[in-house]
Amino acid sequence: MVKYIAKKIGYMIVTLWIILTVTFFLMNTMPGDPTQSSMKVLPEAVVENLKARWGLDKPVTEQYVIYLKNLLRGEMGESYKTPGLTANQVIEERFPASLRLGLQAVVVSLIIGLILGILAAFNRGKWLDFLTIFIAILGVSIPSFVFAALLQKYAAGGFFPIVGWAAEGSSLIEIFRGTALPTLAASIGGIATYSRFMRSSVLDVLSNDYILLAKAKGLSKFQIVTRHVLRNAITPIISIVAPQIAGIVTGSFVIERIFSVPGLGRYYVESVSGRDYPLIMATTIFFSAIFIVCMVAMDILYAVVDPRIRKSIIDGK
Amino acid sequence: MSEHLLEVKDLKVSFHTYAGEVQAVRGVTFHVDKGECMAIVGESGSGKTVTSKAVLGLIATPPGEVKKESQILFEGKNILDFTDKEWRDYRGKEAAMIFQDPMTSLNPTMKVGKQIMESIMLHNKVSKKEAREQAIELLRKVNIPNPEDRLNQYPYEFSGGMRQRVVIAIALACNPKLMIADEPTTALDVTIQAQIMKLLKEIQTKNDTAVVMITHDLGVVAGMADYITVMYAGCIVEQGTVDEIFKDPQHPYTDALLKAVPNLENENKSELQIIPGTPPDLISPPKGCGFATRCKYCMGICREKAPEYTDSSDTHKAACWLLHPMAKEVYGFENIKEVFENEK
Repeated sequence: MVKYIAKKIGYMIVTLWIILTVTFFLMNTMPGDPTQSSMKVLPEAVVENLKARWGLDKPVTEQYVIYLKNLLRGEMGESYKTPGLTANQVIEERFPASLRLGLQAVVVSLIIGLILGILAAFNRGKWLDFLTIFIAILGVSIPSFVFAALLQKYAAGGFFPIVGWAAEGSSLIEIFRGTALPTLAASIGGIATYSRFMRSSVLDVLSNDYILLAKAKGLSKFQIVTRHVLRNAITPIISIVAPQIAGIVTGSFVIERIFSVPGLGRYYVESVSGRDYPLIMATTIFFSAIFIVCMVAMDILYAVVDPRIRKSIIDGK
Repeated sequence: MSEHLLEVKDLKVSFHTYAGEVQAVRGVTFHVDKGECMAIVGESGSGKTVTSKAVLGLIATPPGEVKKESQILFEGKNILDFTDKEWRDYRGKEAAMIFQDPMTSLNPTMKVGKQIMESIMLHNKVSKKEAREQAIELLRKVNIPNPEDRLNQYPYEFSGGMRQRVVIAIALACNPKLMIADEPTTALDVTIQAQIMKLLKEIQTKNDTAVVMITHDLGVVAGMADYITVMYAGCIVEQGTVDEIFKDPQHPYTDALLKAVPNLENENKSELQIIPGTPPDLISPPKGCGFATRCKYCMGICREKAPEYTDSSDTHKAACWLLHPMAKEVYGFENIKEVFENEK
C-alpha cells in the first residue's frame, strides 16, 4: 500500500512537470507579449526596459530554466500588472475563500444529491422520483449564474446579504449568513449530477440478490440502505466527484463574481487576458496540482470502499 | 386436523406489467410439516420461485400482487396479514432462504463473518464476541476449513461452492424452523452439487428443519425430498411422496419430466425424450389445462375446462382429465400407467 501511494505521488510530480512545461511554452508562443496587453501603446524604450526587467529579453529556453529554478525555491514570480503582488500572495490570500466556497458546495451537493438519489431509487415511478428527475434536469440545463441571480432576487436582502462574503475568523452565524447563498448557487449543478448518478447506481445495486438476502435476514429498509446499499452504490459516484471537487475548490469565476467572493476565480480569467505570465503559470500549476491530488485521493478512496480493488493494489497489479 | 408448520392455501400471485397482468401463480396449495422436505419441481416460468418468495414476503409490490384470497399459514398464523415488524421478526428467525446464485447473493464489500453475524445479532440479544463465536461455529458446521481466518475475508476470496456454504450458514444463523432453498445447486458444478445437497440433508435431519426445495432437476431431489410437488404454468399438476411420483406418476407432464431425466440403468439406451412446445403465456392463461397444447394425450375437454384434482392415495393427487372415470371407460384402461407405457 505504501509503495502504491509512493508510486502515485511519483506520477503526480511527473504529470505536474509536463503540464507546467507545456503551459510555459504555449504561453510564449501566443502572439504578442505582456507589454502590448494594455490599451496604451508604450514607447519603444519603455518596452525594452520592461522586457529586461521581467527577463523577457532572454531566449525562451533560458526563461524556462530560470522559472524552474525559482519554482523549486517556491517562488512563482511577481505579477506584471500589479507590481509588488507576488503570485504566492495571490494564492495565499485568495485561495481560502475559494476553498471554503468549494468545500461547502461539495458537501451540500453531496448530502442533498445522494439522499435525493437514494429516495428516488426507492420510490421509483412515484412522485418523489419524478421530482428528483425534474430537479436533475433543471440543475443540469440551467447555468448556475441564473440560480445565483434568482437567489439574489428572492432569498437575499433580509437576513442574507445580496453580495459579500464572511471574513475568515468571524462567528459561525456570520459565516453562515455570508456564505449560504453562494454555496447554494454553486451546489445546484452538483446536486443534479449526484442525484441522477446515485439514483441509477442504487437501482443497479437493488437488483442484486444480496439485497434480497438482506431482506430475507429480516433487516429493516433503513438497515438495508446503510449496511448494504450505500457502500456498493457509492463507488461509481467517487469517480465523478473527484474531478468536480478540483474544479469547484479552485474557484468558480461566475459565482465568485456575482456574489463578489474574494476568491481565486477571477485571477484565472484576468491573468490570461492581461498576459500576466507569472499569474497564468501560478494559477495553472495550482489548479493542476489540486486536480491531480483529487484524482489520487479518488484512487485511494476506491481502495478503501471496495475490498476487491484493495486486493489488486496490495498484489501489486 | 393437526396444524402444519407451513400451509399455503390457494396462493395466487400476479405481476402487473405494461403488456398486461402476468398470472405467475394461479392457486397453489401445499403444506410442509416439521422436519419434512418438500420439493417443488417445474420448468422455468412455472411459478416455483414466485411461490417461494411469497412465503418470505419477498415479492416486490408493485409490480407484484398477492391476491386477497391467498393464505400462507405459518404455525397457524396468516403471514400475509403481518405488519412490517412481524415480517422482520419472521424473516431470518422463523424462516430463511437460500438463493440460486451464490456469486450474487453475498454483499461484495462486506466481510463474510459480518454478513453472518449481522443475522445473529439482529434476532438474538448477544454481544459481538458471542456472535463471532457462533459465526465460526456455523462456518464449521457447513464444512468451511479455517473458519477463524475465513471470517475476515470478503466473498470474492471464496469459490462458488464455498459461497453457497456461506449462504447456507447465514440461513442457519438463527436456527429457522423453515428453510427455503431456491435452486441451491443450479449455479454449481456437479461434484459441488452433490456436496451441497448432502449438507442440506444433514442439516435437515439434525435440526429437524422443514425444507422447501425449489428445483427443475428431478434427479437432485430424489435423495433428499419426502414429498414432491410438480408445478406447471402457475398451477400444481401433481403432488405426492417421492416414491409415488417416481414410480407411479399420474400426470402426463410428470411422466414426460421423468422420461427427460438421463438414467444410467436404462438398458435399451433409448434417446432422452423431450417435451415439445413451450409453456403457455400467463398474461392470458388457457381456460383448460395449462399443459394441453404440449400433451400427447390431449382430449377435447382438456382445452375447454381445467381438470379437478383426483386423489390416488392420501398423499397423492394429480390434475388431469385422463384420471376421470369416464376417460378410463372410454379408452379402456385400469391404471394410467398402462397409457404411459404403451406410448413408449
